Amino acid sequence: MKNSPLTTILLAALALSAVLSLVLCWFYIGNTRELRAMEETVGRINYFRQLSSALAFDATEYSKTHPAINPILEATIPNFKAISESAQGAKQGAK
Amino acid sequence: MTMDTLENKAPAQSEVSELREQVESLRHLIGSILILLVVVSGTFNIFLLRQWKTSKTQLAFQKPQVANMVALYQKNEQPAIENFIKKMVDYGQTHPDFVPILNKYQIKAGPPPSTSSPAPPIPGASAPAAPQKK
Repeated sequence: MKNSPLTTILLAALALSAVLSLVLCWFYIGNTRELRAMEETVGRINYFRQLSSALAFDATEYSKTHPAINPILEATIPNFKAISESAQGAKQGAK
Repeated sequence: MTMDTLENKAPAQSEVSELREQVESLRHLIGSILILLVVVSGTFNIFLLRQWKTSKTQLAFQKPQVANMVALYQKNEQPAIENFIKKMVDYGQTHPDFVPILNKYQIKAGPPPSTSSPAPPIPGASAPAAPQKK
């Protein structure tokens, strides 16, 4: 019994297509991994930024009752003096 | 005797022709399935190709931006943030009433987590990436 040439051709096309799928899948997964790694890095940076600004805010609030922390905040937070003065001004204006 | 042989031959031939028909029908079926598989596989390949191209474009667009962002962060913000947290921790060691604020952010006394465990380098960035703190 002879094999039909059409079947052979179709099988070859299918094999080729499967190999191509594997290669494309490999490339795509590589790119996706790289993208995810970058997103993770950006997320970590943003998280740390948020954490430090929240800590700075809490420390500023704390400084209202504990002025001993002020020298540290003045040294580490840029424009801390202006921020605290404007906050106090706003508070007095509200009263 | 000859009558018996003739009677046996006739059904045998009909069986063979029936089998031939079945083989032909199977061959057609396999051909159809193969064509269908090639079409499905080709469609999947086109989908994968498009996905790959999209991710490649996105990567080419984001890579320099993220690398720049990380470099700027590491150059300017990270030292300032680490210094700030270190000073807060130092302050907390001498002022116990400040410790609850540190605990709120899970900052323990000692070196801040940012300095202790640098994140794996991101693609395109020259130095270690943002600090790991979860």
